[in-house]
Amino acid sequence: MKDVVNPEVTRKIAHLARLKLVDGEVEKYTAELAKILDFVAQLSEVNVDNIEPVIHGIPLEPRFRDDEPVALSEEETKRIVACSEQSLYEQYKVPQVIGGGE
Amino acid sequence: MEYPRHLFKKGWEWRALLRAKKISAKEISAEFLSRARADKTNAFLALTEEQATKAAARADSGESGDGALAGIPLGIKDNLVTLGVKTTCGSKILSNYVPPYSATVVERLKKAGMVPIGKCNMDEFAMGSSNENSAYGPVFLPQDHARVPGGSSGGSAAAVAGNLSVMALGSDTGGSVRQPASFCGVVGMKPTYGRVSRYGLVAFASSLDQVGPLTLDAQDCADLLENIAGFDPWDSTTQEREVPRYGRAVGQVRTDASHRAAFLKNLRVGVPKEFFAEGLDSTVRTQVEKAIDALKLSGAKIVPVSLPHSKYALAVYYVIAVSEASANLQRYDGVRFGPRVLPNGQNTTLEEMYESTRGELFGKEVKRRILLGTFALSSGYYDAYYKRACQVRSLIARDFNECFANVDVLIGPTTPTVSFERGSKTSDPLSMYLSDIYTVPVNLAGVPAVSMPFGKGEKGLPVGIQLIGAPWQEQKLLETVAALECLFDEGKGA
Amino acid sequence: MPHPTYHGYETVIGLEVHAQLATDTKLFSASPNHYGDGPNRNINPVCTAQPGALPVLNRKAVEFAIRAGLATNCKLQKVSVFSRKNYFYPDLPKGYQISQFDKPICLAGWLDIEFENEPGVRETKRINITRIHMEEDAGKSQHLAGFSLVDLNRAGTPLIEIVSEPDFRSPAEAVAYLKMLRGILQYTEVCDGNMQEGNFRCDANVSVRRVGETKLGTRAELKNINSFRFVEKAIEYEIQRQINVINSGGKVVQETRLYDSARNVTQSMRSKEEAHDYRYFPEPDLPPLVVSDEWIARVKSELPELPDAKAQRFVADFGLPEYDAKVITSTKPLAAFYEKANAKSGNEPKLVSNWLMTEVLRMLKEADKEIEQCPFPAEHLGELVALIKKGDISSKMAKTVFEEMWTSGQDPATIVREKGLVQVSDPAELEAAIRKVLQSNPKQLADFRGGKDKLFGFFVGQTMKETQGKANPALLNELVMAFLKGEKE
Repeated sequence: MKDVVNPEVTRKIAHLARLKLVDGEVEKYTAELAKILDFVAQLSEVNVDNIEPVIHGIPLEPRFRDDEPVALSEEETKRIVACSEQSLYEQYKVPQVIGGGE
Repeated sequence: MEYPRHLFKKGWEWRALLRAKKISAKEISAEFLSRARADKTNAFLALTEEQATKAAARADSGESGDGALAGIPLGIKDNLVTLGVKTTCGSKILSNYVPPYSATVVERLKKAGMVPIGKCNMDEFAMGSSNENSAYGPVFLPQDHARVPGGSSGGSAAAVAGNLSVMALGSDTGGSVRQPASFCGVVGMKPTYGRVSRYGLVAFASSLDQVGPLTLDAQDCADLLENIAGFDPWDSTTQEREVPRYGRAVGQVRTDASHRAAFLKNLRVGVPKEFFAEGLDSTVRTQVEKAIDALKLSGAKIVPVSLPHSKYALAVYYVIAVSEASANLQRYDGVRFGPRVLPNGQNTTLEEMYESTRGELFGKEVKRRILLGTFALSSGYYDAYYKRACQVRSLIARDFNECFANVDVLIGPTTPTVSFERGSKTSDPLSMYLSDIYTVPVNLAGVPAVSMPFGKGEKGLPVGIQLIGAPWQEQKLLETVAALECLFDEGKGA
Repeated sequence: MPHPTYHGYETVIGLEVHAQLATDTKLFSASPNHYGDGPNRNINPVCTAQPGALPVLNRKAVEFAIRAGLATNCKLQKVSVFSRKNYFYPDLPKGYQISQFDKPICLAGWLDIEFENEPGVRETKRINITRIHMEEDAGKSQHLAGFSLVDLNRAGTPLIEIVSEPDFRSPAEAVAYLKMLRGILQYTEVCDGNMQEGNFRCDANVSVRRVGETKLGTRAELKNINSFRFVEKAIEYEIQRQINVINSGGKVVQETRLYDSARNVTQSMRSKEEAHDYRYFPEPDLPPLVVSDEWIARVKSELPELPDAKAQRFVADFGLPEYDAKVITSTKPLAAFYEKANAKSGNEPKLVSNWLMTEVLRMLKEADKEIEQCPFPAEHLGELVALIKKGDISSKMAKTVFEEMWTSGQDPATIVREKGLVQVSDPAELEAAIRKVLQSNPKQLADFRGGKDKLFGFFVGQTMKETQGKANPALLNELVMAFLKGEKE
């Protein structure tokens, strides 16, 4: 597992997760991740042939919602937007986006 | 130190006084608020005095009705959103978040007339087993301030154990209600997955999280559960199942000796051998064995059972929970709520804002788990980690189902040890994770479980025993707890 | 027919369409699904990803997806799964999009398209549809000087993504497919198909390879194309660009490119090559989506008449040629326009069809408008045809009236009346005009009577001028002939 997780991998993962890691943190987290992944590796000894992966321990019933709009009042939607540190003209204001998106 | 159960009034006892008009809700709330203000265990992050006063008034005027919770002081874990009241999840990244809505369970409790004392401290984003991961300082075990109350619902458990509130709401993802209940000597329950709405519970691991009661006894636990359980159209994972009259069922077992005796004679109790392997502290083991003996003496059938895949539960949990968490926490970026960190002032780019906000405002444990989860889901590793964990999860759930074909409840220790000293496990994440070894399989299977205090262990600290029920069998589970409480009171646990 | 070639190369194109579903609420939140409201008004804790908020699936959105799948001959999947697609962007509030990844709701469909790669040469071809899946839309960002503003009204809007196999070999084929697909989605009332409002969006994956090569070339993904004309132009540009890159010794880069309609170029979107690891995993906040046979059967039975069936009906009921019927029924609004016009035409379905296809569609194409933007209502076209049939105006005059209808939006009867364009069919009036013309042109009359038969046209023309073009042509011919023959005086 020490081969799988190294500082370069940690940096890549940290970027995917948008976590800025400062000096020393890369090495520290790399070591911790390696240790935990070592612990997790015991799962490879379980025979999972023909076992379907499950997302929940208890099967869930189907669940739907009717197509009935529930509109919030202007006061209520303003309250939601106001949770942001920076908004302008009722829109969320962020530093300029360069590229990205889908 | 005496156990709180014997010193503090339970909710149902306060209700009797309220009904008899021997005391008012206003007086009760004043007393609890005053103790909460003077609290040295750091159980609360904020007190909700204004809301408490209003709720007490509504209870006294009869507006809240005559239910089991009217006028009863309650603590609410700070990962349940409360409209207009700051909700931080124990994190700096939500240090200024005032939610624009309330969690379903909070609204239900408000209708039931509960008096909110305050928002309880917790491990950041519910990640921890000792409440040492809160950005707002650790919580102390009420019985010994050098020790931990458990986590992540450490504040909620400490509030009940310290008589700062009569009951509290916590959340349980891998044991975060049951383990602190065990350390603090109170009752803590994780309902069946889907029994209680998660709408408004800030998500840690979506397929594992459940809101759960922390109380002084089974009766209060049943009453609280009855008021929060039930289908919620805002949570797709709740089920349209009727909510049984838990309170009445437990009341019968508690007060009617012959009913209780008959219940115990019909009870089949499974003892999973895997929960008594090495690593279990001997003083804890002693108490659990006493509980089993007490049940046996009362006529319950004791059946040795096995949960063969439970030994993998912790590994499965530390793949699935962290993977789900890594996605659930992607929304914390400073854009729509929470503080923003702008390392270059006005010239900060969006990417810099994301990375610095998250890098600086998330605590170590949270970052560790986000990195782990991101890794487990990443391209090339998904099959080996996440998918495989989901397959083993299926086997763990199957183990429980097979047991419940032959028994009604399972019994074992809640945690391998009693409460430990603050700082004693923080240098090694894995040693902290091992605290959840008996609780985690329960969340993976989705079944309900309760931790109840059963005597003292090492250094006179509380020991918790865990009772696990079949899916949707909370009633039987709580009846068993109530019966065991009576057996303990009869001296069977000393 | 062999594929079109481009200087020794051929192109391979695949299309991804995102169609917004015409539901009243969003996919996972009960906020209104409505365009054009004030910013951040159609929001709630769920679609703004407040901590603790949870998704609940809109049943109607599923129904629309089923409809779309049935109308494109897909195999409906009994069990499909929603998955989280994780990435960071300000218009994606949760930091993940709830989409479908490995288990989409529809698989393996197809559409038979008709197109012309060479003018006048009509071909048909089957385009295979790989899959249709459901997902939620993101919000909208506005980029200003030094900052961006985010509106989450659109965040959470239900979408279906329809992915084709890379079966297209020309821009014309791509456009034919997109028009047909949009028509079908409009017919089934699943999507408005309003490209300006962004509820029908196309991305094109374009690559080139030397003719005869079987391996696929590196593809570029073209985005931000919001009209059929731009689809054609963007793909044409991209094909040429890629050929130029290869011919000058370079390699085509796999990237996303935005189409700039003002300059008619595609531009690379990413400043650096970003590897996207979306870390898909099944959405734990939702149960699997189960679609029963009964549900599918019910939706099938409630499907509105699809274009092909409608075209057959137009052929049978109105006697239209098959080609005309296909064109008119290609989109729901066009078919509806035709039926409304026909209803007012006094039973002249063929004439209405001619006018619709030759005049109306021509004017719309020149103005780059859709039938929904026709400046006059369908009824007016029908009334125009009725006037022609009645004889109130001649066909030639009708063209003048039509142009006036287009610019003024007035109804034809009013135009005819106000401009005094009523056709003159009164024999007495025409005879008076003819007499006048004959009296004014004695030399030509003598020449005609002397054997110059060609002058017949002269007299017709002069009389038509005399009546300011309003003479009923058939009657005019008849009467002029009668006068010239001496049968009338």
